[in-house]
Amino acid sequence: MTIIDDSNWEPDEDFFVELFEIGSEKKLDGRDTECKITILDDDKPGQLAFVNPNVRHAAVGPNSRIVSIDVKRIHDADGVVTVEYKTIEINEGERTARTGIDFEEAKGTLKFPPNEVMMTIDVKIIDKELSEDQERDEIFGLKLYNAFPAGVKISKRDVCRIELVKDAKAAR
Amino acid sequence: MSVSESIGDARVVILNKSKAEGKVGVRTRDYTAKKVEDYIEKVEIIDF
Repeated sequence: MTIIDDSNWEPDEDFFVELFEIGSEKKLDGRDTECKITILDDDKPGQLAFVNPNVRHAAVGPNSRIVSIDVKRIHDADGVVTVEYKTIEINEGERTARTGIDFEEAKGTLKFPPNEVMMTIDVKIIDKELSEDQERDEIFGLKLYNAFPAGVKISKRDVCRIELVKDAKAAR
Repeated sequence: MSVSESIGDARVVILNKSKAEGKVGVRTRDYTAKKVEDYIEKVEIIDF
């Protein structure tokens, strides 16, 4: 019996080999006239995590309008893996960054091809005019969810906290 | 029996317990694994 190998994670699966009567095509009676074969999947899709789950971004000045968040695929990288992402507001009181005011909503799906271990999500930051004595100090999040296939895990730190600051020197 | 997905070919041994002469059909049947996607279908006549 030839088993077909692929690189995508899937659950273990079964099929049968059975004996049948020639002519009637009926399966032969008896418990020992069929054999269940379980195909054990040996593909490992890996785990998804933010490279840096706490990002400080200089939101004032040149190159400030996009914050790029890296997502890594660790342990293994067999097959195609997808994960959805979206920006979220995090309740930080006065420091809460607001969708449409401080950043633009970002929502989509990352698709990792086989053996791809790093991808980047870009989020647009909305520019603010600040006087010299004003600070920019706001926080929002980027969440990973709904990884596929089911064998893919997302790190427990599934939200990246993005802190918008004024001073580029304070950003890291 | 269990086999790794990467095994290539899996061997199933069929015993003729009565040792009588005759023919029997052997075929695969889908369950959660599906022909074409997971294994190559086989239908064969065995001559004892």
